[in-house]
Amino acid sequence: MNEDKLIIETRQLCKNFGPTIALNHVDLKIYRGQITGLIGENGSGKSTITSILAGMQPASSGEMFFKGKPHKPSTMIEGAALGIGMIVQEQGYVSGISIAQNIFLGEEGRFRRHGIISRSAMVKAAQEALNNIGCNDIDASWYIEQIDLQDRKLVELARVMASNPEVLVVDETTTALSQRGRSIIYDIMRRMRDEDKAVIFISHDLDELMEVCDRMVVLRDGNLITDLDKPEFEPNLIKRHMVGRDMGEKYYREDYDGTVSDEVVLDVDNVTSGSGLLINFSMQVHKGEILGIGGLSHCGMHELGKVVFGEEKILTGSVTHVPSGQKIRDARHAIKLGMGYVSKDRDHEALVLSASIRDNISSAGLDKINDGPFILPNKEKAYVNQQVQTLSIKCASINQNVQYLSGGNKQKVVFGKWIGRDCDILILDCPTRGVDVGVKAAMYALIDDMKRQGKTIIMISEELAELIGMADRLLILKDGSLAGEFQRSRQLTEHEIIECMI
Amino acid sequence: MSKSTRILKNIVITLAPAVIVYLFFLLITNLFGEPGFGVGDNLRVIGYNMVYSGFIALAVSYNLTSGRFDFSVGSVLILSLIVGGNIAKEIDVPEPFGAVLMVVLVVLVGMLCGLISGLFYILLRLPPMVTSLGVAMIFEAIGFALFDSEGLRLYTRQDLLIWTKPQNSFILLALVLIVLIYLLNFTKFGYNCRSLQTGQKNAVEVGVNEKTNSVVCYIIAGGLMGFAGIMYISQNGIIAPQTGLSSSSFMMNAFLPMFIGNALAKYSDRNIGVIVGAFCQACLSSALVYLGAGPSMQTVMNGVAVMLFLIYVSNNYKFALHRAWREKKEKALGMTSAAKQ
Amino acid sequence: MKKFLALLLALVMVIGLAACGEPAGNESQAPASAPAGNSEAPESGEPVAEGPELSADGRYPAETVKIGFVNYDTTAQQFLSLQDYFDYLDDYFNFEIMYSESLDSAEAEFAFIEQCAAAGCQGIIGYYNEGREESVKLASSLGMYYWGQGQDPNVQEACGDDPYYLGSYYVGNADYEYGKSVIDSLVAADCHKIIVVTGGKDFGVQMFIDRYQGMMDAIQEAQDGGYDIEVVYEVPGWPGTEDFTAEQTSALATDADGLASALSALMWIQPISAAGKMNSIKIAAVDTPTADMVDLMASGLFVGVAAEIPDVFGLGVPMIINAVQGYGEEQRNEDGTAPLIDCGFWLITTAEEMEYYSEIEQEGGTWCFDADDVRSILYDYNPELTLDDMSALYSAVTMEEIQARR
Repeated sequence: MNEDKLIIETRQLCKNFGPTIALNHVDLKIYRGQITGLIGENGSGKSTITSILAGMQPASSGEMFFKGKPHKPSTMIEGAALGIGMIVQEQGYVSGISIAQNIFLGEEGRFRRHGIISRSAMVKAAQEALNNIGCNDIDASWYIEQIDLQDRKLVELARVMASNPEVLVVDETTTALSQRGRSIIYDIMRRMRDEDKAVIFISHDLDELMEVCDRMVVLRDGNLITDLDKPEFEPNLIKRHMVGRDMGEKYYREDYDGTVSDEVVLDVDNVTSGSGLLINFSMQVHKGEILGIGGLSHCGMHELGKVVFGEEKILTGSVTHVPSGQKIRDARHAIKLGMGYVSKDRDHEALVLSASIRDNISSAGLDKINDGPFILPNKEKAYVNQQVQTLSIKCASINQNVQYLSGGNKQKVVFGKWIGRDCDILILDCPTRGVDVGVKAAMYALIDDMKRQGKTIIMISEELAELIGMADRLLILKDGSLAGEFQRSRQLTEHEIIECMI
Repeated sequence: MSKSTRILKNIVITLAPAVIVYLFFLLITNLFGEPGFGVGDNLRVIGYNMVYSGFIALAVSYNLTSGRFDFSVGSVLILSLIVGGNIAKEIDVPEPFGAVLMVVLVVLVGMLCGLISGLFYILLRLPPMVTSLGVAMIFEAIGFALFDSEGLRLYTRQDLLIWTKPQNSFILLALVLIVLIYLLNFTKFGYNCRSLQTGQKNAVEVGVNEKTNSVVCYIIAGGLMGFAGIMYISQNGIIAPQTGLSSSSFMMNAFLPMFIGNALAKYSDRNIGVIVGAFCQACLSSALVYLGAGPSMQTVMNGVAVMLFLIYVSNNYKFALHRAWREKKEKALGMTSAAKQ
Repeated sequence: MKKFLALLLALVMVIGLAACGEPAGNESQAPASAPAGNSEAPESGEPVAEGPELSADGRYPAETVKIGFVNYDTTAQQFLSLQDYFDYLDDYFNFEIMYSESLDSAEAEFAFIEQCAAAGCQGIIGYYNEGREESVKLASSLGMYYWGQGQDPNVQEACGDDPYYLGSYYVGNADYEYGKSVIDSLVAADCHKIIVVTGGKDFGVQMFIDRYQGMMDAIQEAQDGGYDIEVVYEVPGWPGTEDFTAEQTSALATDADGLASALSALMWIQPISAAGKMNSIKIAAVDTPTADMVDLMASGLFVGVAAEIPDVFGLGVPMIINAVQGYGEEQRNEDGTAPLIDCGFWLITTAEEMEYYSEIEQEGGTWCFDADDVRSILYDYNPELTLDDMSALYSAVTMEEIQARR
């Protein structure tokens, strides 16, 4: 690569969080006119390095250079002023104020005339910023709550782009975006490249990275493993670099035997959900079956998971737990009947982030470990330790707070909650979302294992590959109704399913 | 909706609670055969209480809406009155400049107290509730130590106590409101206030200075407590120093107006909303007095009013939800019957 | 930084607590040693201290008598006056007061009494008593004398025979009497339509309930005597709330000509003045005499102020000194129980009286019971002393009686 184009360089960059090494003497180079992908397992250091570049946190040691000059931003504001714009994985907007205010947050002074901040001037400039990224349909004068979550991410993008950055960092943003949002963000990245600016793109989606990036840097356990140019992109090679060993062939289930018992365990009859699109939906789930549910976003599949678990208001119809003959009233009832539910919104609906691993895992199983009215610490510890071992959750101690775990480990904790209860029916909504390849494989193995034990799994997913790879039977939803049903087969392709979805 | 209809609609919604509450109690008191509510002397009391509680609620709103629970506002009221009032008492100025001078002095001392509260908050980095308890105790102690622990006694100085006259108190309130509306809606400070209120972390990350903003909020709150103090002394003529955190009871007047103000904020402006809320609360207290409710009943009713209002505010989205549910259910049932045919 | 601050705070607390437990100058005293030395004292009729230094310069008794003082509000005007009074007596007698913080519960009170014992106190003045007879028993069990709280029949009944309980001054139900005299002053001033300001009556505060009851009974008596008087409005609560302002305004809208207040009525002057009724309403209140009330009395706006005598609680000092000096038996009733000694209160009706009493209250120049008076109820100075003598002194509290003693 032409060294004249070098815009960012790190030398021997290290970052420690207590005894944990997040970055280990990393020498990273970012060039102009390129989209550089950063890929690695959870906890490999991708987000750490970009957050240090943007000024969100300081490095423990090492040097950084931006446009040839030493670079050491102490805040994100400083980083942004120097020309590094970043779109973060988490919510980056402020609710309760308008879109225009969000775009010019902290820069309202630009619109001051005679001591008064002109709202109309601000809205006009904000609208220009939105139009500039191709979001002409979003009205800058609206309150941020008036647009959906995916468009809010685009407002963040407009804000970052309004400051005309020289380096754009996109940190796992695309997982939260619709297809339209993705194409907008890809266009921006390409435009930046064409304007001879630099883009750093972090994603878990290997296909997406291979498609968009010109160069890919693989990180593992805080070390920079390799640096590949486009011609060298090869999925298995990249996966091997990420995981550090040969992934082998076994990833999804190996068998293609889709036969399941005739015994129906769940009967969903003509259900209409309170929120979302799900309307007059019926299905039956069999014992020992992995039932895949797929569809485009807003097709009603996530609501279906909640409806089955009793978490969502049902307007018409019913969900019956066939072995007991009882209609499911609410989540507590569902748990009593041996059901478990892993939510898509892991951080809000499935975990108490500020509580320990121990509290999170034992919370769903208190009735399994109590002695009369007492919860004995030893029994609780043994129960939690067993889940930690079974799922090989990486943690310093079971008393560690869940919020400091990596995405994959968090998801394992959620699994631990329900596996410990020995649930007969487990509803998994996007179980491998934001989880790296290694953990994914472990989870697939675990799901397969549960199936072999005769447990029933409803797997809702936005990833077609895993649905095809894991499900005995696959239901595709469209606009809240059933659009197609597929049996497990070696011949089933993504193409067929996509046709059914759209 | 055109701009003018929207503005009209916002004005109507903003003023509606005041009109509805006033008419409601007018009707009730007359039904119970207790005429006199809301007119003459009673209207004057409602006006006074609106201004007095309004100032306190405005003061509390600048910090509480950003999650800073400030126990020290009552002690700021007392201390600013004791210091500012006693100085004004000693300075010989022709009428009515003495009264104006007293306002200036008391408000300045209040703002100074606010500055001190704010600095304590940002320097100690303790939870604001803890800091404010400490600050309240310090202010109470200072108020107690000064002027032979006598507080402020102005009942012989009619010339200084002109601010309960409705025309005077309304001018005071209007001036303060103009300044606050400007600050909250047309300055960077106001924009920052609102972004920090709902998204502190994100706002700080893009460069909003939370520390400066909170100190300014404390200064504004201090000044407003000074104004509340002026209203207090003008009505009562005497204020004694308090200790043992008993000054914290002053902020109890603030909650209902503040919650109403926050709910009305999106239709006009939070400051105006707070004053509308203060008017509603003043009507409630006056009407209860008219209806002969004892003090414990009044306390209960005030609590019930705050609770009912909060229940409404946090649940009103359910009306829309139920409507949506009904429509969807009808659609689903329609589809089923269509399929049967 | 945060850790440092936390440590600093902890240190300040430790020092603060240590200072509470062991006031300076008593480090050498072993806990509870002093009371132990006197534990047999009450049975003896002989003076313990042989040849006491009967000087008047603060050297009597020879050994400093430490006294714990149980208080509920360190900012109350009466307490501040009492502190001045103790400072004054300190120049004449050898004793030391250990004050509590503002206590608000029986638990806090018990803890303070235990601290007193640990600090070597020999007596407790119960200016405040939430623990009732338990507080007395606790003091007794720790070998400390207890004086005060004669209003509480429980204490008298449960502890009357306890040799460590020394009784109290007694005004009957003082608050009830204040309430009565407030109405009496208005009747004397020819008021007929009364606004009654009840303070904490409706909030269950006993003091205000008693004062209110006194007022109502006085009105009833006046009516029975053929005097035309009625309550036209009752105003509960305290200023600062919206209700109070509304009630105040409604009250002043009536045709009342008198205002009887169970608490200080100074916050009524401005509203009365604003309502233009300075000449048509007269005020009587339970309050503390202050210098700036002299003019208010002179102008005729205030016609009566019922007040507690500030230094009456100081009489605990001679009672405890007598007991420590071995005269415990002498200062008891004939049946051996602790005496409740009748004491008066002030009803101030003239500007002259207000000026005189406010000096006692505020300036501390003259006291109701000066050093000579106190000396007269100490057995070592006055071996012929009887309970009747004490009673005579306790109840001679009017301006004339005080002036006559000087």
